[in-house]
Amino acid sequence: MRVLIVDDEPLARARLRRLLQAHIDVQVLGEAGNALAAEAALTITEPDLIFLDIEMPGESGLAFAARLRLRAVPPAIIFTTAHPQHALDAYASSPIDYLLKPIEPARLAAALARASQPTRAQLRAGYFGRAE
Amino acid sequence: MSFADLPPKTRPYAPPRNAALPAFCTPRVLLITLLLGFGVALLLAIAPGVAEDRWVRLGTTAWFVAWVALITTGVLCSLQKPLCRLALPWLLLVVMAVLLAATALISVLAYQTLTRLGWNPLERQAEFLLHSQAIALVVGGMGIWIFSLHWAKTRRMTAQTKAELDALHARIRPHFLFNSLNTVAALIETDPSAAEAAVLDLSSVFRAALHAGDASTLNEELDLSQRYLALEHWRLGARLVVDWVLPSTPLPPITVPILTLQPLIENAVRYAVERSAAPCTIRIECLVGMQAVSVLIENPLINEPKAAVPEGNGISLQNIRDRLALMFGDRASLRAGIIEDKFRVKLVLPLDGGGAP
Repeated sequence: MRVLIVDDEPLARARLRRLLQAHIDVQVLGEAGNALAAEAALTITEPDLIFLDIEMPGESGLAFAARLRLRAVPPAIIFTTAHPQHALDAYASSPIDYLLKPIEPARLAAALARASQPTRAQLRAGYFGRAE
Repeated sequence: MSFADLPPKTRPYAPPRNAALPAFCTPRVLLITLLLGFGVALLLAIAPGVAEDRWVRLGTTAWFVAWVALITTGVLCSLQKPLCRLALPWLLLVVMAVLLAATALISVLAYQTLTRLGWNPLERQAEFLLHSQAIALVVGGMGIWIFSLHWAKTRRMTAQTKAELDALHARIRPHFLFNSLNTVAALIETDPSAAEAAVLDLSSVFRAALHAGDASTLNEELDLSQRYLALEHWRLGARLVVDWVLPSTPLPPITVPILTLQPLIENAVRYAVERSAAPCTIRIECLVGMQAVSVLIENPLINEPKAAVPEGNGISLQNIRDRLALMFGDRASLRAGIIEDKFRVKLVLPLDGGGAP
């Protein structure tokens, strides 16, 4: 699975990158510090999954995720935030998961497992042909 | 963004005027007033040099005082609403005037009625009136003095408790707490000694929040601000640039309330750096003059959509002003405003130390 990390705090990105090293099937394509930089990264690489912080300078993670949903083939999203209270708003962009910082390795593993598990509906619609 | 953009909840809080004003309309206040009045009557009756029978004197004085207390409390009760809007000195003046007027009224009535009933007073009515007014003035003055002490204490405790609560609230805000803990979690593996430093910075910032009612020194406040900024620096990385302009000579040992400076810097971080994707400079300048030390904190105005920034509150400018006023009277000041494209806060502290005049 190819992932992009979007977070405005460099150490938060570094920690997530380190936690992801434990998962051999995960390849980190890159990092971005805000929604604008993430959008630029999306034109170059096509990640399957985006780890997205919510509170960032400029466009918030929630607004960015809502825009991503409008794409023909949107990447899967896992929100990473220190705030539990955004969970309900985050639901609108149907993320794979919502991880609270500091992220627990076990929770991260569960979220990744969920991300790599296609739903019956997606399989029927023929989505996951190139997901692996 | 500036303080003017804050949502209503976080706007500098203005306490309701005379929140400490006793509710004159309650039976409890009436009972206390009557008891105090009877205390005065008792003093007058047992005072040495009284020629007449002490029990008779106690009885008549108690009657007199009870009526004065009832009328005064009654008038103040009916004026409760307009009184609450007055500033404290005017309020005390009105209370005193009502007390004197009630005493004058009862004096005249009592003198007229008692002489008609066969009382043979030693003094003329004008003297009787003057003496009762003098007693009312002294007793009322003592009451007002005690009330003022109580009021000042209540005000100080309110400002300090509010500061402690707000400081703690700002510290346990998920944005600060969990992101800082995440920073520590990130550093532990890569740079254990930096992780240790971050934990120590975090604990000193928390400790200050637990003691917001106490006094500190300007040097300690600067140290706390630096530790706070170190913590934010781990989080925000290159986006946070701090331009310190400190005098080359050591700062004079000025006593200040704890959390006078750090909340101002935290506001600059929250409203400028956190909203800016590009590096953002906070300028902190300390100027030592002949009579005062000024601290200037400047941050650029960042116009970003508010949705991306956490709502929440720290210590308000008004709360810092309240605590400065309790320590320095009107000799310290805190001003904030927008100059060109910068938000600037100026804190002026007097060099001759604390102690409100």
